[in-house]
Amino acid sequence: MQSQKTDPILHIHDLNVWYGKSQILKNLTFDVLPRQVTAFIGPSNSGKTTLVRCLNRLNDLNVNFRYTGKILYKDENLYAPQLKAAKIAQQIGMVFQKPIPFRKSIYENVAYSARLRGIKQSDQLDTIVEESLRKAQLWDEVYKHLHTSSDALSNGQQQRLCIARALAGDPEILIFDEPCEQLDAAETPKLEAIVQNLKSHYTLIFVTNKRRQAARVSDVAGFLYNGELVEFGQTEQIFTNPIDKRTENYVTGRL
Amino acid sequence: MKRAELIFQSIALITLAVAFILFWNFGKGVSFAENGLPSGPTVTDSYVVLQENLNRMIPILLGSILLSVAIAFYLEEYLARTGWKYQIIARQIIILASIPSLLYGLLGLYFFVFQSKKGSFFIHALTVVLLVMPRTIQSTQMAIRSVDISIREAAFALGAKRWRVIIDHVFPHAFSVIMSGIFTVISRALAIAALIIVVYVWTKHTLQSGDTFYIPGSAIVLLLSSLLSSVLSSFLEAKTNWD
Ligand SMILES: Nc1ncnc2c1ncn2[C@@H]1O[C@H](COP(=O)(O)OP(=O)(O)OP(=O)(O)O)[C@@H](O)[C@H]1O
Ligand SMILES: [Mg+2]
Repeated sequence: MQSQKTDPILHIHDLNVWYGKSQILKNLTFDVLPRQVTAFIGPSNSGKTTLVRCLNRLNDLNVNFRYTGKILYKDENLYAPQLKAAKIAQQIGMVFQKPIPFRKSIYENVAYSARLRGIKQSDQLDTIVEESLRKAQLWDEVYKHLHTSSDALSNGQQQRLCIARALAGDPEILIFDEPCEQLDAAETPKLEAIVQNLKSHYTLIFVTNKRRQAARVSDVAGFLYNGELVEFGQTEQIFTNPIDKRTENYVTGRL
Repeated sequence: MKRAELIFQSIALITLAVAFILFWNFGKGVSFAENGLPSGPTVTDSYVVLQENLNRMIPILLGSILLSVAIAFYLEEYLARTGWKYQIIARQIIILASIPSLLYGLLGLYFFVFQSKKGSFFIHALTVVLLVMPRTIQSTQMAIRSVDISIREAAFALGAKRWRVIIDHVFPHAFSVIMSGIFTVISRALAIAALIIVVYVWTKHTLQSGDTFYIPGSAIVLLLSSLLSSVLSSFLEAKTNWD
């Protein structure tokens, strides 16, 4: 049992990433452990988004994308030709900076990802929609009007809808890429609470450029700077006792 | 798309289709006598033949529109925009689309009216295809590109396959713009058909039997120059777009 808990779910070794001719990520090596929140912090353009888009193969959409190194997902090469990008994306979900609800009803937004994995029966769909909306802490606000358009929801509600939609796909890992960036301040604590609750069932990767937020939500944190993973370790250590000078400057707000 | 919008569009579409069918089929019988135009048996007879020729082009018209939409989706969604296949096809389309419809119209006029022999069906069809396809492909490409990338990414990130993303998201989002492009193209094609009929009637009434129809040399010079400048223009456009 002990070893199962500590086996990394993602193992990244010496990862280099290029978009066209410019190298965006340099020699990244780290492990992501299951049922933990792994945060990536760093200033704008440090490569946080680029990194997480490698992990769910969303970068496959970019023809200029090229990488070297190893990315193992449960000991299997994530980019192995026999693994389909769509299958990977279903298992490694993503919530974006901007809430992107589909132009469908609340119910259909969430049911969409369940349908993608072949679930057709309506009672099964109902259950999944309710469970997902509850996990995203949106159910109480919307259960009375599930079949109205998602347009009417507030920004924060839309972001929680996107979380519910990702959960309905039954992922193992869920990536958040600066999910609070475009929300009202009042929404941020709600989102952090959701992340804390999801931790018991999912592996979470949380990108943020708010240092304090990373300190609050994560167990493990990595500091990215100019495409380098300057430091990676226990969140507490990163924030209270950083080894690298640059990390110290960043977490204390001097960078 | 809002439901009201969809209903409105469908009604407009159906009205247009019905009006078109009515005018097209019953306009034939009214012919020229009632409009005060001189009409002899030969004119009306060959006019009916002409209209039948044009009628036969309607399935070709609709077919090439559908094919064009499919090609545009293939180009935009399945070929890499920087790849050589995309580049070559896209360049050809830009060149063909930049040729004025009127030139295709004159081509059509020549073959529909003055060369209506057997086997000309192929040439007629080619005219319609040239008139319709490049522009429909181009306007559909624009419509597809106008769909916000974030919507595609959101769908891909849920594990949707490419064809699902197209059917569930790209197509519904681009639909209105695609339709607007198609109507522009249909409007051009119909206007060209009208031109063919008008010129046909005029010439049939002014030509004496035994006269041969010819295109004046100055017109040919103008045609060639027009062709040349549109090709030049599209080369320049291709340069700024792709290099
Ligand atoms: N599609 C792309 N093509 C080329 N370069 C890109 C592309 N996307 C990002 N980049 C470049 O990669 C670098 C890292 O960008 P990235 O978006 O990963 O940073 P980030 O840390 O997520 O920044 P932010 O905090 O602003 O979101 C930047 O210099 C950016 O210009
Ligand atoms: Mg980013």
